[in-house]
Amino acid sequence: MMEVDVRPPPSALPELATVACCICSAPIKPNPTHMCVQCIRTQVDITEGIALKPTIFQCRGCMRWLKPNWVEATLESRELMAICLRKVSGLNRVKLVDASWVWTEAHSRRLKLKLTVQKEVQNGAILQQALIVEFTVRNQQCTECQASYTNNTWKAVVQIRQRVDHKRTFFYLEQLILKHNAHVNAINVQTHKDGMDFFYAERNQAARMLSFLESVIPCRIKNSKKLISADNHSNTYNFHYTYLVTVAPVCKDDLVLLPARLAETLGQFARLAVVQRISNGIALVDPVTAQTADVNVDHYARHEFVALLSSTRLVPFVVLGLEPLPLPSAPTMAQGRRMRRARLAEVTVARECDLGANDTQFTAISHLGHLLKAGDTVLGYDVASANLPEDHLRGLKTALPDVVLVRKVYTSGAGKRAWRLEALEKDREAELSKRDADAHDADYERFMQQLEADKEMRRQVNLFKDLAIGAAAKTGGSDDDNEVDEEQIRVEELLDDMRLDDPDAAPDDGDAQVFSAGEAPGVNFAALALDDEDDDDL
Amino acid sequence: MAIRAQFENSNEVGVFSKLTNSYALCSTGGSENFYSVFEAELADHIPVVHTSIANCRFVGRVTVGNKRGLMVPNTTTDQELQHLRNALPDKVVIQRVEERLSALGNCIVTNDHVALVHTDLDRETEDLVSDVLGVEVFRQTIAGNALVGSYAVITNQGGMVHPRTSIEDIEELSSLLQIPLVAGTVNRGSDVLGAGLVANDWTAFCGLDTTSTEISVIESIFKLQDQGPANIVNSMRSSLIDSLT
Repeated sequence: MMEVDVRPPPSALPELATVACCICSAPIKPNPTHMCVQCIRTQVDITEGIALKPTIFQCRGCMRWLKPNWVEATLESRELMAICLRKVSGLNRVKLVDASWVWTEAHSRRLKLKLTVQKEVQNGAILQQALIVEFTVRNQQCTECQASYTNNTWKAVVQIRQRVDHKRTFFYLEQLILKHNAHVNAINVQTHKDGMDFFYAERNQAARMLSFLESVIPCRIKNSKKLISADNHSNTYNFHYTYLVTVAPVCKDDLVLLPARLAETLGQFARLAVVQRISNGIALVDPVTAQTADVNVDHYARHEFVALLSSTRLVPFVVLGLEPLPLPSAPTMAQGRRMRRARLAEVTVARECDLGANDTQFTAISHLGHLLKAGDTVLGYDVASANLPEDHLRGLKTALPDVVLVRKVYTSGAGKRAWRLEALEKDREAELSKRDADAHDADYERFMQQLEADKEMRRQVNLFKDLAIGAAAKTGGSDDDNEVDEEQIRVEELLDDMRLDDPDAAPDDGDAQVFSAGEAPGVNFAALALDDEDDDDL
Repeated sequence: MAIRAQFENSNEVGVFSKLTNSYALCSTGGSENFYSVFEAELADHIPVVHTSIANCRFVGRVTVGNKRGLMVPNTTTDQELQHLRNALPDKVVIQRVEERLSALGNCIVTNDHVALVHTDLDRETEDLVSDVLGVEVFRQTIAGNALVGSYAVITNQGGMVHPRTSIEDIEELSSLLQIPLVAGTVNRGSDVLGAGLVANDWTAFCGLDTTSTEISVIESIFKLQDQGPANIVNSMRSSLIDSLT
């Protein structure tokens, strides 16, 4: 397309005589060049000197564009257009009046930009012409990606390991890391069979991660360093620092048998206890008395214990009836603390699998008296039928209970939840086998159930509204009645997802009105609330 | 026949020459090429005179004339005036004009019957134009421009005006001048017709850049095809022979 600007003559005459184009004699309206458009085109080319096939560089790893620093821009965006226009040489000689994208197939590695340029050619005639500039997208690795893909660019690695047969601790840790943005400095995150590795370019970034880990999980840190290179003349030494973070192999909901010494130091605490919560210590609860105790890391290091039964062994029980019990009298509990709001109850339960098969019933004293009612499903350990290591139990004074109830079940399965969790971007060292993948999914489901049943635990992580599920499952409970007990997820706890391209997630969305002021969407509010809760635990 | 010429690499032949039906003026230059183009075409019919005006070469832009007379500005030296008187035919009246607008060629355009003059020209000059050149005088503008000599070239056969002249103006000028007019360009799209083109009743000279399209417009409006003093006889002869046989 080409146009000649026809300026009105000074006297604004209505009708000008037709003149012949001075080259081809085509009749035209007079213009400053007195040539028809085609002839001007043969005489002058205003697009001359404009590079029509420039090259633009993109990093294949992070999909950023070279500007000359690396910037992010989506295809057909204004930002990308700005980057592209900088690459078109010769544009300073003309006036750019318009630029628009011409669609290209994303895999063609070509970007097409339609430019409209103007230039004064002669006698004040301004020529306007449209041209299409085709950019070739070439790959070039950005410096950050180069660093992340090159071996030995990291200076420090934090290796987190927990020697257990499940990954729930790491699911929880992942959520904590996401909530506190503790992963931002990591060059690379790798998952291993027993844990995760975080790679850092600087040692102090790793140290920061370590202090974070120490504050949220019970762990011990071992460090080592390896000399990579040294320069005696300038006295510089290049080390790789490795920090091995060993997480205590105890997880929430585990049934543990405390060493006798430890139980003594905890104030004659019962030896058989359920792990109620994992923070930088281990919170234990005695299901028979609702007494609680905290074991901190140093304490744990001196008296190590492992899970007697882990939550893979939890079986569902159905509550048939319950009888409230008074809490044990104060003198015996002199040095202990008790779960707040806990009500002891003698609960009659039957295994869910036994229903309709036999009439086997169990009676258990449970610290969940305030949550349970007849008909509820509750998870517990079937200690009676468990095969426990005899040597562990040798010194035990009291008889083992038949059943230890651990937590109430709220949602019966995945897909019904009105909330979801974020996930950390990480590399896997090796592909999972089918069996491992199934175990992983089962662990994740268990972790979600744990979250659902524990208000305290939820406070440490960010839960997001699942927009796919939407308003249909707002209350998120399996209960048909409207009663919502205190541990259950309330919709106020869920955060709005920050998805900028999603109109449904806009803050003025109808759903957003249910948020109270303190729980407005955002990570930091929730993080602030965390601190006072920690004091409560310890 | 319209002939392309160039004066020392300049296409503005109208600046350096003046052409009428009874004489032609050429400025003196470093080379005789320009002069010889005129000489070759015109020498058999009319005198081609080498001259300068006020010791300058822009003879075409400061003089105005037709077959009856020549008007020169007051800056013309006596010597030049004398030279012109000697060189031009006796019947051509030469008049020096005391006029503020001394570029007479730009301000006046004339053929042998009618002249258009700049709107601000003195009354005395206007009288002189009508006396010396023997023409009717009209104060006119062309395409809103008072420099009629720059933007129009007329002969007794036809005339060419600035390409931005409106159809109304062309019709009005045409009825004043009693000749056909056309809007056109010379020198590959230049609208300064007076500078790019000199014409008389049988020949025209234009700048070297003039395209064949422009030449054909010039030739058709000035009726230069098969023109020239000899061709008239030829055409008459052919018709005579035609009638005799």
